[in-house]
Amino acid sequence: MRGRLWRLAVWLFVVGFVLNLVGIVGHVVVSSFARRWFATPVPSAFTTEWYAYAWREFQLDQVLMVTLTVAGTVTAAALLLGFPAAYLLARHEFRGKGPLLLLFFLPLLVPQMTYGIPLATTLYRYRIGGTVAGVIAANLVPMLPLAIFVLLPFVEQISVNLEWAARVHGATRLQVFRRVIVPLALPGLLTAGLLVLVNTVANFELTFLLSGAGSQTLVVALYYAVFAAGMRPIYSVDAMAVIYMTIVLAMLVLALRFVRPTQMVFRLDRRD
Amino acid sequence: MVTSLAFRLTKRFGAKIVLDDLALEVRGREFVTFLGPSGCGKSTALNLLAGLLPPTAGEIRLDGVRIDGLPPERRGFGMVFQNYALFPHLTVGANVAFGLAVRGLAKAELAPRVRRMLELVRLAGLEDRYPGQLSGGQQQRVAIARALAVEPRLLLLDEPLSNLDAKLRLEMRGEIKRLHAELGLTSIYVTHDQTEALSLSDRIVVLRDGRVVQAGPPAEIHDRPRTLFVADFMGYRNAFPVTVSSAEGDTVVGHARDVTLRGLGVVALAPGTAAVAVVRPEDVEVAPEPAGANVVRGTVRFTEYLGREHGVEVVLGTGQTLMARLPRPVTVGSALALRLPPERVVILPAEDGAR
Repeated sequence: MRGRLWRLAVWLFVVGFVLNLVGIVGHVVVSSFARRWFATPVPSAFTTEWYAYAWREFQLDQVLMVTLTVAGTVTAAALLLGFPAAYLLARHEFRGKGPLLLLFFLPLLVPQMTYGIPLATTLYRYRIGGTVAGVIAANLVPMLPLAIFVLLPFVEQISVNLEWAARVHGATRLQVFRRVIVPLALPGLLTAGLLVLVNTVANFELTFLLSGAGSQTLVVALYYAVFAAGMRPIYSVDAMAVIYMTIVLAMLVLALRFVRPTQMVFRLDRRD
Repeated sequence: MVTSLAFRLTKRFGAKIVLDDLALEVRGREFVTFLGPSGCGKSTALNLLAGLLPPTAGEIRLDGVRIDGLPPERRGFGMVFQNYALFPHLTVGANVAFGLAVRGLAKAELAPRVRRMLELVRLAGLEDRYPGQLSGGQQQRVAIARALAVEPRLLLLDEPLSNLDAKLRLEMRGEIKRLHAELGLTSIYVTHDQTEALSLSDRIVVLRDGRVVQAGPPAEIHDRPRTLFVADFMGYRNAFPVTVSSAEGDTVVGHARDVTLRGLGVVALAPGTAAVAVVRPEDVEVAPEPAGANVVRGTVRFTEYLGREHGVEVVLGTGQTLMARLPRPVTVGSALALRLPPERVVILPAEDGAR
């Protein structure tokens, strides 16, 4: 009896969740293709012209370019800086490592607005605020710790013995890194890269605070499209939202082809 | 070809002394074993030689040239680890070729050398497998091939057989011995297993708390232990406190309350000093007569069948227990007279010489 109730509850939850999701997403998608949509269950006529409109009106080519530049640069920088840092943190024990790690990961725990505003003020003072570089710098503040945080266990599970074996048999430090550490940490690098990429594309607060006219990413542009002065057809905003959703989804699907989150644990040494 | 390796090493981790001025000279083609319980510093010594850990003090000379300043990759050694330490993302072939590939050898040159190495360890044809697809014994063979592929000036082996089951261990022991001789290697082997040390080594160095307790050929370590620690490690499980009555040359006579024991004196002992007579269970035999020299009497407390022989625990009149291995079964509770052959009894100073 309890088992059946339980199953029913799970079913209801799943159905509710899916309906909710389909309802929200479906509404936006349908609306973006609607010529007009008032007080009827479905729009009376469909069109794709809102996409062209949104593309022109919101300068989406430029916004997409900025989004890609920011996301790509933040991801590359977070991995390039985060991997050596994760390696050092994984391999070396020192006093105060615990508190240091906590301090390090503070930007991940604290709401971004709390440090975003002083960060923005500082960056504007140095005239970095409002530029693409400013957006990249601000996004790196939480993304670098995130990359380190994700990479740390991946590096930790690589046995020191493997490094030792490589060194004894003739590999320099650099060769050990390139031939042993990086290939073995590859699942971690992909995972960290994916998380940083998605988080940067989705980041609103920091990008909002730091971006100027020519340095808006898609989310921020979407926000301005909705709330900026002047009337804009809701259908064009919906079209923009669909573009945003499609991009994030495409990125996720592409990434999931390379990373299987459920099988992230890589088989290493049998012991230790 | 290496003709000599000489080192003198001290290693401290904080206040803890792991190696206390361990000094040794190894000849070319020699097989030297560091033998000792865990924590005696034997693995640390190997890691210092390989350059994986920095020594606190000391030096290493290879053919007279100091190498302790060199990073591990420039020492030209090979090393076999207890847990194999094979690269899981590389094939067997790439694992074996690793040392040559990082030295910049062309791909075309690698393949034949890898094949030859795998033939040497009897794994021909497994180049394209991954380590995870091999058994423990096969993995250790790959690890040995990887170490040998670089034509090491010195081969370091850190308990390479400890993770293998008993049958495989015996087989691989033979393999290591064969390869060492065939290739004219100079090897340093670390183990806590005295049978491995005895069967493989030209010389055994027994370590305790980072110091050498005794060093010498296997037969000498086995038959003439100089301290109780070494004797215990070599299987002298029976120990009787005695007082030295006389010592002449090699022969020492000691007496306890109701028994006189004649044995081998490895260390000089003055009459009157406290000593310990030790003997292996395997060397104890049933006495032909109930009394006489080196004969003790007691009651059988426990027996176990061991196949070829019978393990017997006898309680002596003094309350001490004596372990023996006898060819014929005895009954629990029966009285038994046992003879400790003088040529197999060793009489050692009571205080441990290692301290």
